[in-house]
Amino acid sequence: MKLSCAIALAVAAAFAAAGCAAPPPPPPTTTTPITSTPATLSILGYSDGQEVALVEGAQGGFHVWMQWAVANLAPATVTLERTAHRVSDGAVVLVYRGDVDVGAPGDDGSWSAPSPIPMFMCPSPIGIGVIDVPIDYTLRLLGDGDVELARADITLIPECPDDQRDFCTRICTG
Amino acid sequence: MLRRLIVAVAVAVVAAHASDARACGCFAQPSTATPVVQAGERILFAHEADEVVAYIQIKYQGKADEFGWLVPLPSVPTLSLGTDELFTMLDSATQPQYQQTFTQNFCGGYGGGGTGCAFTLGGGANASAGGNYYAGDMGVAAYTDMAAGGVVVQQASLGPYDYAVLHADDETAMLQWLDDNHYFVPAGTMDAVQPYIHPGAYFLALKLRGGESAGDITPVVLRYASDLPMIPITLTQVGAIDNMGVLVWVAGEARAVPHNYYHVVVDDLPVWFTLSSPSGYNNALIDAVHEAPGKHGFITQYAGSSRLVRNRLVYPGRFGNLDTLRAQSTPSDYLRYLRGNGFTFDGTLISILSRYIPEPAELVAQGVPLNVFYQSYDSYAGYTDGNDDGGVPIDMPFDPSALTDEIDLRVVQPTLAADAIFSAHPYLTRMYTALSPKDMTIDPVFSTNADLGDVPLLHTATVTTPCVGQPWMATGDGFEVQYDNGLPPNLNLPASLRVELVRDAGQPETVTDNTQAIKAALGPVDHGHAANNSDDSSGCGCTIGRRRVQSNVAMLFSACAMLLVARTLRRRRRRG
Repeated sequence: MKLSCAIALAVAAAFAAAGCAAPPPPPPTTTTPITSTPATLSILGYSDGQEVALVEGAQGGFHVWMQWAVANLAPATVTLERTAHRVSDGAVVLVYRGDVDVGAPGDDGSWSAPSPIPMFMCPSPIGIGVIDVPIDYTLRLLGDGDVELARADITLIPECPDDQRDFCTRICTG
Repeated sequence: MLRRLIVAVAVAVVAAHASDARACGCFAQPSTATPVVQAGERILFAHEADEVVAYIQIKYQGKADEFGWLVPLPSVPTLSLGTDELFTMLDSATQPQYQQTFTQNFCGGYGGGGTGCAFTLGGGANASAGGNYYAGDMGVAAYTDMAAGGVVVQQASLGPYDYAVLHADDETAMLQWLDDNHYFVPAGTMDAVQPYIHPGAYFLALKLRGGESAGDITPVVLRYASDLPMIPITLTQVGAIDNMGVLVWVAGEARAVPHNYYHVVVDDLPVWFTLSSPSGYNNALIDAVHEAPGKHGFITQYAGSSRLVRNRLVYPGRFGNLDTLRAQSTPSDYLRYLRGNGFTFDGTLISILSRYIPEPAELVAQGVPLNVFYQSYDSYAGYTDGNDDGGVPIDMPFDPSALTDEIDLRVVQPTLAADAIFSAHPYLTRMYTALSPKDMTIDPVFSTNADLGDVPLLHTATVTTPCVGQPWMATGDGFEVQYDNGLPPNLNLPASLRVELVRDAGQPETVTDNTQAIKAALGPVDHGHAANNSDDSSGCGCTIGRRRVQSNVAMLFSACAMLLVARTLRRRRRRG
């Protein structure tokens, strides 16, 4: 039953994507309501409020590297929006968008990004220090028309790595 | 007064080219100045999938074997060749335009019983470009002699270059490799390199292959996994000059902004006042950048659709058919095919040609430049009659197949790839800064802000000369300034209109707003008096139908010009 519903939805979506008028809906064959499980986006490896050491970027910057996974999302090319805001005042630290190819889910029903993604922290925007202060990180998967498919948020507290503390402090404190 | 006289005479010149007229007054096409900036670095960034694509124009003057280039990168890059033509096109197509209109109110009436004859006349002047050349653009000048070692990740050749990708995660190994391979490391380089020495980081080292000349240096295209494009300006300081211009284009989905530099909006008044000076515009921009804290500021010179530059590099028919090119059996036919199919005889093409169709020693001795030789090959081919006197045999043997392969690799493919950038990305931003070595302390990073509006190329101003009183200028950004004895006043104005912080989202945050200071410095403006019968709302003397104007345009404008000249001379005599 679920499979036939999914096929029907896929056919309708294909028609819609092709710009064609959808065919008239087939007569209902069941009284079971159609339900869809929303996609679920997860940020892996961190807990909310955790202090994290910034990792050096090769071009002289520092980032928070983030592993993520999504469940209940069919394979597709979607937009991954990464944002970071300072909690204390909402100051924008990062807004970045890029396409990502979500693959087929694994046995656990989710698809994991093949490698962690950098949340670009430093050089931080002028006047916005990002060290030792809570930063809200948000990942959003967006479909056509920027429709939000899934979202995950986490608050982390970036710290400079010990071996680069001086340089890190210089370029991460706005 | 002299300026006004020049304006009047210029009217006659412009009139000869006027192609349009409107019902009100005598109009000539306003001419537009496109002042240029001097840039030591020109870079085009784009983002494709997870990679930053950087087109980098390397400027270098010096011995070929002393050319070296070192760039820090976050991942192992993919290298390909770029094209100088990309930057020539980008520079030209996205140069700000300053369109100045002169309006001259006539007071004695001309034609049709009107009261005035309004002219629009282009003013200003083109500034000439000057190049800043230095060794090791975007990197460290170095003597290179590559050798494999544990630090080397990859070694290969590409076009005129040998290159190596080096691990940058071990400072000792990295320095040893530089030393072993005879890299010249200027004093201070080690401090500059230090921020880029990280585990998992890389350096790209580049040198010219043996036998290549400095003229073979062509832009390099780097593709590397990264999110935000960045210029390793801290490393550049070693080879940079004072106020080195940096021009950056970013092709993307939205307007690019300096992520960690201030954004500077130029006060156009100093630009208008110095348009006639060759370096006026450039100096105005430098002054504006210097008003940002730390002199860390970028000026957005254009932000808008990339349609502006689409299909400029590649258009139907360009480059013809390479199989046909390969089939050309004589240099004469080959060069004719190149000329007839849109090949640009720039440094890259000429350098390639010089190896396959060398200029005869006799002509070299006579000082015939290579570009002249190839452009006028047929003339020189008939100049001598044999091989033994150093002249140009008409049937000079050459290898059109190998030549075409190299042209394909170094000219055609890079041009096609560069053009595709603008089809793939709908938005283009051009930014400029000027930095001195001592100020190259923070590497600029570029992000995007989809909430910001466009920045047009066109800047406008109108200079109006009333019948009685001093001329005044009204600028497109809302300022009015009274001229002094017919000339722009000598005012000490801020070079920037605003200094802002531009985030990745939202509107700019103003750091400094000089609007009121500029208005205070300009003072009140007296618009003078109109003509004695200026209350005539029809107000214009040259209300001539479009058709008539077009058919008599030269005569009409000449007449108007003569009136201006006569009036000017009359005033001079009165004052004299």
